[in-house]
Amino acid sequence: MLGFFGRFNYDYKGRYLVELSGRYDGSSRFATGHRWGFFPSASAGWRISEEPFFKPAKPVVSNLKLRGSFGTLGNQVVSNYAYIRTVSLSNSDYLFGEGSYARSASISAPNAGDLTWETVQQYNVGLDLGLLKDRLQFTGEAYIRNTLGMLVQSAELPAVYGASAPKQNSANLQTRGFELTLSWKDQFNLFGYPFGYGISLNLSDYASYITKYDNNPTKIVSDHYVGRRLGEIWGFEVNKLFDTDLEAQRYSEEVDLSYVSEAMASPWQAGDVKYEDLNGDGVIGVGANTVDDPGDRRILGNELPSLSYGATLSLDYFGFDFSIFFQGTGDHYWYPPRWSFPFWGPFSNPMQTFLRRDFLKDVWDYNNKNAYFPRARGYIAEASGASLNRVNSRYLQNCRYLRLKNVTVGYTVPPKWTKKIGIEKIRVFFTGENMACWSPLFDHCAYLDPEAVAHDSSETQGRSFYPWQKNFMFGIDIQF
Amino acid sequence: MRKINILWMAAATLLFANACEKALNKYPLDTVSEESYFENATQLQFFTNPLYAAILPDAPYDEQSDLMVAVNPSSLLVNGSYRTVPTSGGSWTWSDLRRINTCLGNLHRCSDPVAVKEYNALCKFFRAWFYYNKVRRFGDVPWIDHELASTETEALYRPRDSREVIMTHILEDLDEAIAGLPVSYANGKTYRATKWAALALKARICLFEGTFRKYHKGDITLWTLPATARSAEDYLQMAATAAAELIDHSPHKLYNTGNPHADYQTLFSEYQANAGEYILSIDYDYSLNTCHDASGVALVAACGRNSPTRGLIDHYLMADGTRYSSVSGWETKNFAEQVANRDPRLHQTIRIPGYNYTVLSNTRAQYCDMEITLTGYSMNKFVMPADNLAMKDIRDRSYNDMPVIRLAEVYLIFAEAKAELETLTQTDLDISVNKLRRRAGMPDLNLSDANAAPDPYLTSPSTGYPNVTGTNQGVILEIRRERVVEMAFEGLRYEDLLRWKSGDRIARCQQGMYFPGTGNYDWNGDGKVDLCLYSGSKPSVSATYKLKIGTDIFLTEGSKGYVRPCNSYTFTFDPDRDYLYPIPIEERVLNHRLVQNPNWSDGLNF
Repeated sequence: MLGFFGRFNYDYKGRYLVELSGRYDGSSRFATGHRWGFFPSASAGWRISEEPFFKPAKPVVSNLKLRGSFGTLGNQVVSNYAYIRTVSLSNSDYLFGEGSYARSASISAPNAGDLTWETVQQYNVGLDLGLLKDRLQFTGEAYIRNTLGMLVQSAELPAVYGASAPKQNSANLQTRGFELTLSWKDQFNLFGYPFGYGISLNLSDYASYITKYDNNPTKIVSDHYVGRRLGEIWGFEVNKLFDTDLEAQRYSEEVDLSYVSEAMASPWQAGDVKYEDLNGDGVIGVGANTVDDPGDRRILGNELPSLSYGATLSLDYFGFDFSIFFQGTGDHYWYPPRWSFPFWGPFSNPMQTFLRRDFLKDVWDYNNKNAYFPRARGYIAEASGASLNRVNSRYLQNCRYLRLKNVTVGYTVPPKWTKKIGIEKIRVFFTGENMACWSPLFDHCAYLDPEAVAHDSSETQGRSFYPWQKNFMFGIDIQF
Repeated sequence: MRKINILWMAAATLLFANACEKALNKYPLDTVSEESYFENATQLQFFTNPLYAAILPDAPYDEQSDLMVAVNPSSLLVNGSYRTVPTSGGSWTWSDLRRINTCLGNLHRCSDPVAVKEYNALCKFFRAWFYYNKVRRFGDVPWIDHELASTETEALYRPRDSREVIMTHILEDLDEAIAGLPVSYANGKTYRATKWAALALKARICLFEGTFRKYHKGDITLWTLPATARSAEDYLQMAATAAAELIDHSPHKLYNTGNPHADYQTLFSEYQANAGEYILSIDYDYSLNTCHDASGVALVAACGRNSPTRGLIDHYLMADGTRYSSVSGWETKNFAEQVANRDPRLHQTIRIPGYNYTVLSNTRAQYCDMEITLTGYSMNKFVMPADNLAMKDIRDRSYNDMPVIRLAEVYLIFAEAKAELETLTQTDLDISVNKLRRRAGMPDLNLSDANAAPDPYLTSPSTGYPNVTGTNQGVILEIRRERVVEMAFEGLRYEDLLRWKSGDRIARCQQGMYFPGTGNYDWNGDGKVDLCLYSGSKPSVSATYKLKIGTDIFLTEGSKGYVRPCNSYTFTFDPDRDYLYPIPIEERVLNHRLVQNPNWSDGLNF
């Protein structure tokens, strides 16, 4: 990698701030002709509060700054030599009677020769506001980020291609978002001693959409398509379990359920999930699997966190200090994967799972017809075409949560006492982390954590992961 | 002066830019680029080596069918109407073909004409096998003969080609393989494909296609044959011709030391493949930790509990060549009586009373091990004798080489093809099937006797193959019997059911041993009870196994009858659907021109 870099700064009386910069980078990961990228950035700020005309307002508005920026950034998110097809050798465990492992040569999958930089353009506007001697501070920021020439699998190719599809710089993604921070910090005398307190709130949200994608003109749902919001979850509609065997039998005669019936060792019965035939064609299915013809599926929700927020309150008085921090998100969803043993229990793989203590109260039987989970059948969450494995609305989990992330209480012994024994400061404190959490996810499985499931990407993790820990810490802090 | 400066600066800039560009030309140091590979025989060998592991079947003893069930029954046997179309995969994988086509497309880089000829032939051999697997499974499939680029939309989104088109290409590939593969290798081993392996494969494929078309004639939904398509007879004739060429010209011969009660079993349990009989085989070596699971499957409860069914045992003739079905009361004989005085291959294929297995000087009777078998019967073929090298009754500790194609199958192909063509003679039987009979110490199969009075067991709609008709009905059935007996557990049975249109046997033949009711069973007559069946409370008798009827073991008539393996499952086969497998859903979504096989519901509306 080689790079050239330049920067220009200008500051006029602390009121007008301008910065220009540019990079010109070349990378050996790309082929000749696609190696070099130019990435300029610019930013400007106007400190309105420093203007002469602003003086009358200064006692109330101590700081007011408007800023805007445009920046570009290059990503070289490909592996080394990605544009060269290479043959690599290895030992296989296959033998040809030679008393040693056979050597195998394999060629790397084809790659596009024109791979190049991904460019990220970010437009940003911001407002900094300080009121009442900066006791009240507000920062607001809004941005649009365009990722251009995003490196994606060129298209889903039919399996007859025989290798993984080559990657190409063929998609654009746009992310729009905002971040707001509001804080209040003050101090007054209470019974002759200073009482300090502060409140800080922050709020942010974003959404990303595919704005260009060359490889999916028919808008196949399982691939990116223009207009797709990242994280969207497509699934079927399930509103109820069958009440009676007769209802199940009639419905399964009326509607072809074979798309969701793998691992069923007996016919549909009372207590099985009822998939709704949304498009009324008499078949539960995915239609043409396109946005315009998604069969009986619809967008059930989005898996990416929406509306993240946090709130902190801190107090200190008479050597005592206290702070509490809440954190949370708005609605976002998760469909428990086949190997989520804590959630599915024996509906996944009965030979390997455990039966959690409170599971059976949620499982349907003739005396428990309002149960959440259907009648007991092994493997129906594990097998790929089975009724709980297909994403559906009934078992989609809302991972919205509010978490008491941190509580700290401390007491600092007055320094005038401690200094006598040569100690600068002694503070004893208690900190608790993850003390409590509220989430709709806990309605049917108290053992999962709304933050952990999002990271729950691998099978082994899903089978047995550690829940997020509660930490309680008592400490003493001595400074000499 | 100024001019010179500018020129200098321009030149310096250009030089610098050029140097930068060169500095960025980095090539990998630990791998070879495509352009400098495929240049000699060794490189071609390394590139084609993985095809053996990818395409040759390596666990034939695991195949489930009407003659073998396991504790987790294959979805082919039990899922019935709940068999669903896979989203992806489902053997619709094409990476092996890509490897073959990549190699073929790069052969021009090799300057050694001998190597080019050999590896061209080897690639064609594997391409034929690859497409044979695809045709067996899916019927019509797209034909792809070169390494595809991602821009070749016409080829990538191609509809399925008629199986006749594919078979024509398969035959071309096989003929190139037969012409170009070596007749033998320097080490005398049969772990690599030879001309004879290609001939045998041709015989196998042509027999498959010939019988498939013959017995599925009229099932028009299964295929779209062009008017010019070859007939079933054409394929059968090619099968017979290929088999005859191998029989007449190859150096392969049956393993036979003149011991009919041991030779058959020894052939399969020997550490080293018998290069006389095995035409193509897979090498295993304990010291290289490359083992398979045949002994584990037979001897250990946790390895799948593969269990032969009664249907297998009933196929065997009596030792004197007479039919078991003419023995009075044959259907309800107990285990010891049932297996006594049968074709000697029976006790070399399943374990019979008196069978002992020794592991580390610990000998134990192991012939009706109800912890392992679901039917009462257990596999013996492929089980290695105990030795000091390794305990065999552990998962993946068997290192006897596995046959992929052996001469006996070629004999059976030859006889079956000629019988189906109605050109079979007694001499044909004598140079093929009767060699197998003689090795096993069995009387010869006589053409006219067989046709004069077909075995009712084999014609019966409940136990046999009722769709076999014609003047050769009797001998065709006897050849099928011979195939069942000789090729047991060699991975050919499910395919045989498909090509004979006998899939319904799946639904009617899954039964085990007969039990007349509760009681103590001592099959080897040593006075110790081998198995105690009871109802009600557990008896105090000392027995190796005590099983409660209706709880631990299930019988067809409740308190008596044949053992029902996998009691909670229903064995099913849908003749309108299950002769072909479904194409995975994602593939049809991507390529609407791929039409789904008949009667498979995949949730797509086109």
